[in-house]
Amino acid sequence: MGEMKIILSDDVEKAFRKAAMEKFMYQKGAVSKAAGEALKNWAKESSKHKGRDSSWDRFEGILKHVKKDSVELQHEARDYIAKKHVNRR
Amino acid sequence: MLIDANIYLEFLLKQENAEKAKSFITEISNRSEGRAFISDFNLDSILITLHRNNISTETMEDFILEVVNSRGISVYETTMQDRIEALKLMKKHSLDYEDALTLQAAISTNSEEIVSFDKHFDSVKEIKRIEP
Repeated sequence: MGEMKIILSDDVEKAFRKAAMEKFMYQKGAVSKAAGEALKNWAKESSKHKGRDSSWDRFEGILKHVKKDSVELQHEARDYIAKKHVNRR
Repeated sequence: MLIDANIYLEFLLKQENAEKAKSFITEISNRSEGRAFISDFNLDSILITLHRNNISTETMEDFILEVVNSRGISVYETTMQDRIEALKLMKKHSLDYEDALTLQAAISTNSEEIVSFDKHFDSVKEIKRIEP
């Protein structure tokens, strides 16, 4: 059996404990059982996404209306951030 | 290797090298071996560009998910130490801050190459710039 120490916000902890108790009928170890189930599902879901092949086709040309080259556009984003911070002062 | 933002922007813009850039990203994304990185601030540059050019937040979210779910590409989170080192690189190579931070991210990820269309990196001897 492994052991994990995790830090949660009070709200999440409260909601999780309540749901775990309700699901496992206030049995001993209800929170651990619920946490095990939740983490297992999360890992399964996460690896499902990570395991699939990437497809970038749908993004091709979404900026084709912009008549600038890629390096110019990248530097423009940087200049935009810099200008925004200067104007805030 | 570290992938610069302009590689993604090239196929988002559908420019001259779009097909090469997209094939490269697709191939690297689907690799299970080896490691390629994009830095968090380069990802932000892309997102800012998308937002400034009226791309929906839904599409932006979709883009982030495609990046983080890429098997062969990891997002490198730049540290404060990276930023300090980048300042030294600015002086050493006469780079601007963004390019210096990209270079430092490449150094921190033990990358031997920066994949970029930005020729500013050609003056840097430590790391080789390649194009897709």
